[in-house]
Amino acid sequence: MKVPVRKQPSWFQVLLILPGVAALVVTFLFPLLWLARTSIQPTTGHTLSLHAYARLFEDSFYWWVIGRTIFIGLLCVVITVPMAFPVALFLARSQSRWRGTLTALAIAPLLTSTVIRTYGWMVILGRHGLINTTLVWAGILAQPTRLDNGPFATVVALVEILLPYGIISILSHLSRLDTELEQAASLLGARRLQVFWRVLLPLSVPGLMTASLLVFVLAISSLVTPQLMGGGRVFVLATEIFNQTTIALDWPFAGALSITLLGFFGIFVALYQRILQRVESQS
Amino acid sequence: MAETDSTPAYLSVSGFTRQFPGAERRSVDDVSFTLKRGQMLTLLGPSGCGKTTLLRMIAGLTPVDSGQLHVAGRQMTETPLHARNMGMVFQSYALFPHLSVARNISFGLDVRGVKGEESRRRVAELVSLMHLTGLENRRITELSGGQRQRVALARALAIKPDILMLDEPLANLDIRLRDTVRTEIRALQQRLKITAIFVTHDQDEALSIADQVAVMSEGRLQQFGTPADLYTRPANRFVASFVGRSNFIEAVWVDSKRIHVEGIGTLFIGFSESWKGHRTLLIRPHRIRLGNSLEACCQGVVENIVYTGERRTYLVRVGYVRLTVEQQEDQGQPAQMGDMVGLHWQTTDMSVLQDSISNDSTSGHPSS
Ligand SMILES: Nc1ncnc2c1ncn2[C@@H]1O[C@H](COP(=O)(O)OP(=O)(O)OP(=O)(O)O)[C@@H](O)[C@H]1O
Ligand SMILES: [Mg+2]
Repeated sequence: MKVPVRKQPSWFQVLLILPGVAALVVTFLFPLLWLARTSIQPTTGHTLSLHAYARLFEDSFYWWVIGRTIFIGLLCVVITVPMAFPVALFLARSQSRWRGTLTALAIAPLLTSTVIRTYGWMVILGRHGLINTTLVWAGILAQPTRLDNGPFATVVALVEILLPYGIISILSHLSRLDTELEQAASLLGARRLQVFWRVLLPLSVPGLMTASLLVFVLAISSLVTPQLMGGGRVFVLATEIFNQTTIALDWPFAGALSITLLGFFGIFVALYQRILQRVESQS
Repeated sequence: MAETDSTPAYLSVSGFTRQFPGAERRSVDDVSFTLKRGQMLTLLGPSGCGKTTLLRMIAGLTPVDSGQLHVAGRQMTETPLHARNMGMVFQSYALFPHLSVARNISFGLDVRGVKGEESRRRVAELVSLMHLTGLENRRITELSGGQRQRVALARALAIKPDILMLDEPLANLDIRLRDTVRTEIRALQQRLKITAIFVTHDQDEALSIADQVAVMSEGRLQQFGTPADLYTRPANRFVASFVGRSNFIEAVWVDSKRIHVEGIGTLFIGFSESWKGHRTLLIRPHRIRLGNSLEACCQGVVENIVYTGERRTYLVRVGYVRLTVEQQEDQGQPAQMGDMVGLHWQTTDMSVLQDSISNDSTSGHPSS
C-alpha cells in the first residue's frame, strides 16, 4: 500500500511545525546571525571589517589552538567509540532480564551535570586524589605525580562524559539490526568472531559513524571540562572563546572564533554525510 | 512408495519441547518424527502453531527444553550452530545487505576457508542453477522478491547442507510465481537428493510437494504421514478439516447395518466394527452423489449452490445438519435451489475418526 505523497503541506501541517520553527529562529538562528555580525563589527568605529578573522588566521597561536581542538576531538572519538561499541553490543544482544536496568545505568551519568562529573575526575586524578594516594600508599610512587591539569586529564574526563552518548547512538542502531542476519551467518558456518567481523561490524558502520560525529562535535565544543581539567594549560577553541568574551572582552574576536568553530562543525557534518551516503549506497 | 521401512532414519526428532519464558503454554510440545534421507517433509499448521519454533529448534536457533535430535545417527542436540551444517531459508530471507549476490552465496564457503577456484566454481554452479546469471554483482536491495528468494536458497545450498530448512519461503511471492518456484524447489530437492523441511500453512502447497506431511496444532503434532495418508486416513477432526474439504457427522453405532446420526436420524449404512457412544465420521464432499430420493442414504433440501466452472458445490440441509456436496460439472443433472434431493454414499466413503488427540481445536476450522 502506498500513501500518496502530498506536494503541498496542508495548513494543519504548517501549524504543527510552526512552534518548533519559531523557537529555532528565536533561540538559534537569530543569535547566530547576531554572532556573525558581531564578528565583523569592531567595537570602535562603525565600518564592518574582517579584522578579527585576519588576526585569527595570522596568529600561529590560533592555528595551534584549532589544531589542538581537532586533535582532542579526534582523540576522544578514537577512544570513546571503541569503548562504547562493546557495551552497546552487549546491551543490544543480551538476553538477561537485567538488560533494561543495565541500559538505564549505562546512560544514567547523563542525569548529572558535566560540572559535577568533571569535579569527580579532579577528585580522582588530583594531587591528593584517589589514584595518587593509592599509588603512594602502595609504594609505587614516592611522590604524588601530576595527573590532573593537562591534556591527559581533559581527554580522560571527556571520554567518560561522552561515553553514554556514544553508547546510546550505537545502541539505537544495533537494536534496529535484524538478529536473523547473525543467526543466518552462524548457521552458514561462521564462528562468533567471523560473525562479528563479517556481518555485525560492517552492518554497524552507520551507527559507529553517528556516534563518532556526535562525540566529536560534543568534544570540540565542550568548555567546562577543558577549562577545569586543563588547569588553564589546555587551550581549545571553546576555552579561548570564553576567555575572549569574559576576560579580554574582545567580542568581535570571540565571534570570529565561534564562527570558525561552526565552520569546522559544518565541514565535519558534510564529511559525515558523504561517508554515510557511500556506506549506505553499498548496503 | 519406493522407500521401505528398512532404510534407516536420517533425521530423528524425539520429544522436542519448548516453552518460552513467561509463556503460559508450550510452543512446541513433545514432537517426535523421523525422516529418511532425501525426503521432503512439509510442516503444515495454522498461524502460531509452532512451525517456526520447531524449525528453529532443529536448526539450533531456539533452545530445546527437552528432547533429542539425531542426524545420520549422530546426536546433534548440543552441537553449536556453526557446526550443524544445516541450511536455512528464513521467512525474511535474512540476506546480507552489505554483500553482493555472489558474496552472499559464497558466505558459507568463505567462513569455511574454501577459496579461489573451488569457491568460484561452486558459486557459478549455483548461480546458473538458480537462474541468477547476470545478477552476481548486484546488491540485495536491487533484487526482486523472487530473485532474493533464489539467492537465499542458493546461499543455503552452497554449504551442501545435511538438512535444508525453508520457512514459508513462498509467502512473499505473488500467486503465479509461487507455483513455479514451488515446483522448482521440489524438482531441485529431488534432483540433489536433499533432506528438506518446508514450512507452510497452505495445504495445497503442503500436499503437492511432500513425501511426508506433519500437521501441527497448538504445538502438538496431530499427524505425520504421506499426503495420501493424511487425506484418506486423517487421524482426527483437526487434520481432516485442515487437509481438504470435509463433512463431519456425529454417529452412534446401532448394529452392523445401521448407524444413528445426531440431527439426521437412522441411516442404513453398515459398519462391521462397532463402537461405543458418539464418534465423528468424515465424508469428503466429492464422495457424496446427488440423485433421486429412492435408495438414498438420506434426503435434504438444497440451500445454496456455488458454481466454479469445474464443479458445483451444494449446501444441503438434512434434518438439522448441513452437508457440503461437490459434483463435477458433467456429473448428472444439476439440482436447483430448494430442490429435495437424495444423497448417496457408501460405507467406504466415510472414515471413522479417532478423535482423541485434540478436541478443542476442531471448532475454528469449518470445511474450507
Ligand atoms: N521468542 C518468543 N518468545 C515468546 N513466545 C514466542 C517466541 N517465538 C514464538 N513464540 C510463541 O510460540 C508460538 C508459536 O510460534 P511460531 O512462530 O513457531 O508459530 P508459527 O507456526 O511459525 O506461525 P506462523 O505461521 O504465523 O509463522 C506462538 O504462540 C508464539 O507467540
Ligand atoms: Mg512462522
